[in-house]
Amino acid sequence: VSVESLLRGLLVLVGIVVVGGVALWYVNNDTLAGSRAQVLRTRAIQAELMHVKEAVLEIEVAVRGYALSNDPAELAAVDRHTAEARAAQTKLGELTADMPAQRDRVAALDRVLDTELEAVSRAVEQARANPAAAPDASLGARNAALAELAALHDAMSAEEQTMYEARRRTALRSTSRMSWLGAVALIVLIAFTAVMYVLIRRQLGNQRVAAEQINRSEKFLSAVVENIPAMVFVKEAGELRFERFNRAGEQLLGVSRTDLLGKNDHDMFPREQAEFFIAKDRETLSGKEILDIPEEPIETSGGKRWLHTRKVPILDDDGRPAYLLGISEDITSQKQRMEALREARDATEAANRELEAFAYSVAHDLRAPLRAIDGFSHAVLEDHRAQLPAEAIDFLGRVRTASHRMGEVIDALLELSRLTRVDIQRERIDLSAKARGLLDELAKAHPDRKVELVIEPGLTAYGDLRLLRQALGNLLSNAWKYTQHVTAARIEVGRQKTGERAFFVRDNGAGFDMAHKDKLFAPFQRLHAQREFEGHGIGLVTAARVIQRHGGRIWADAAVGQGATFYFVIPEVSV
Amino acid sequence: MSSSSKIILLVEDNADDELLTQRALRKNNILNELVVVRDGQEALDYLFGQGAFAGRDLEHQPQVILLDLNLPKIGGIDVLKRLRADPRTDKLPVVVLTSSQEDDDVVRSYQHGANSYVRKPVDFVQFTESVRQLGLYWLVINQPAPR
Repeated sequence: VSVESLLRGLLVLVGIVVVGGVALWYVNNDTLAGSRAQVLRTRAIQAELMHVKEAVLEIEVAVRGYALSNDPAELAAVDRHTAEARAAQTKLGELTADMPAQRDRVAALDRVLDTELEAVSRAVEQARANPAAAPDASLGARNAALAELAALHDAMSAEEQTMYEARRRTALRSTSRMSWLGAVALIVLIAFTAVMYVLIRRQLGNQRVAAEQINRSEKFLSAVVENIPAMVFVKEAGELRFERFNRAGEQLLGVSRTDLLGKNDHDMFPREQAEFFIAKDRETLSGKEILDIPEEPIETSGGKRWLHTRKVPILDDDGRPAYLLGISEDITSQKQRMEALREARDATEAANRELEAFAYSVAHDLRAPLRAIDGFSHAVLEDHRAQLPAEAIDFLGRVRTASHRMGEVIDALLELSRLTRVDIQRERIDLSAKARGLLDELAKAHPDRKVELVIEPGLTAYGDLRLLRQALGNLLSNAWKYTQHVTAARIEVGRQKTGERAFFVRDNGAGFDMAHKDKLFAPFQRLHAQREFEGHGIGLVTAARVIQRHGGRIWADAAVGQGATFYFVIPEVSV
Repeated sequence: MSSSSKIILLVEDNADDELLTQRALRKNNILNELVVVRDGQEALDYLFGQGAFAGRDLEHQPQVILLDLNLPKIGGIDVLKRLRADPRTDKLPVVVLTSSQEDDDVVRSYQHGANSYVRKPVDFVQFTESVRQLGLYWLVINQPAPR
């Protein structure tokens, strides 16, 4: 049973008690009033009966006196008491008009009184005519009448007494009903009050618990906001005055919340900044979306700081902006680090560019003296060969060979340096066709070699034509070179069917020990002796650089005497 | 006009290269007069008949100019610009003969009106071959603009 239904039931009960009480009170009042009227009438009837009785006795006394003395004063007394008796009789008639039993008795009384008075008249006549005559002839009739009168009088008195008793009992019952009603009302009232007490107590308890909960959650939220390691502020949407501010904000701005709350940006910041903040606030509130301000300067007591701020509109139930929530992160040191990083990077790039320019000019300038070394060695050999011993001729030949090699190294270095500087211009390249062309050139340059060429058709890549041709050329040259001592040389160009779908150049040549694979793509590192295979150790570096500049990667798989496979991936989109 | 009356102007600041070029020409039996100037300013003086070359007969301009790019005072590209800007020299064939293989140098040379771009090889045999072909082409095969 719910408290509400209990309360409702009690209320209904109280209503019934009140209505019943009032009704009963009315009824009781009526009854009591009736009873009182009846009692009064009973008393009146008894009084009038007494009057009649006394008047008749007085008449008898007067008549008897007259018979003895013939005193006219006695006759006057008879007349006077007769009138009294009649008057009392009339009153009785009025009083018992609505009481049939008593009325009949009053009528009987009337008749008996008439008889009495007639007998009295006769006695008076006799006494006047014969004063000495005695005894009175009417005495018998009068005694009978008196006896009847007394009987009637007693009957009526008894009747009235009985009625009086009955009325008194009714009144008592009524009073007791009222008492019962009062008791019931009291009980209901006590119950009602008790229930109300319990309810109010419970309500107050609930309210206290609710208030405590609200207090607790308020404290919790405050603690959360307070401890967020970023500046948090809330402004009301109207005049954009600060309503909430946390510790990180105080520390960041160097302003205590007591100085800030209730104020707006104009009170706190230089005009230009305040206008910027307010414009962004308005934009957020009208846009009803989170606004991200990646960098904004702010004047603090500790100097200028940079913030990354997000502004969030808080809407009321009707969707109207109510508050603006702001969360700001201090990115000053981050920004300084980025700045330092950028400067360092710029400096590094500048240094790299300088270094490259330097390397280029060194390489470039080395070619002229090399040309002189080669040219004049050649000139000596040509013009003075006859005067030279065979050993000198051999030495000069070695000088020339060395300068040629150095020229090649320089050219390779220049090419490598160029690759790091040129912009990549991507286009769709038919790698199959390029491989075919490059291998044909190699075959033409070495007509003595017989190499089986297997080129998968339809290989295409999206990259820089010149650079990729250079890279592919270097890989194919290597394959060509390292198969020169193999009887059934075979070079294969293809693409993996699965995984990264890497392109590959595979040969069945000398191969190499995978233990040295780290040296493969480092400049001037060679895995083979010069006299075994010619080379300057820059070809693979160049190929790797080309692939890397395309955002791809290159790797190798090989074993000594079992050939080598170079894989490379060229992403389809520029990175 | 005999081929020997055709002048070759060599703009070259490196004495070794100058000697090697002369040798290569001789080896190829190119016996034309070879005028050698050693920087850009001297080249312009010669071609415009000014400075040390004041009063030179400008009717007798070189058949071909072999121009190095990396020159003291006035660089090869600037020389090229000045030649192409002047009606007396704007039609002279200029072959850029240099050590550089930079894309930038090649492109700028052609942009400013070079007729050819040849990179000097390190190998003297190859160099000689280049000079032979250059001589054959510019002194014999090529038809210059009429004066």
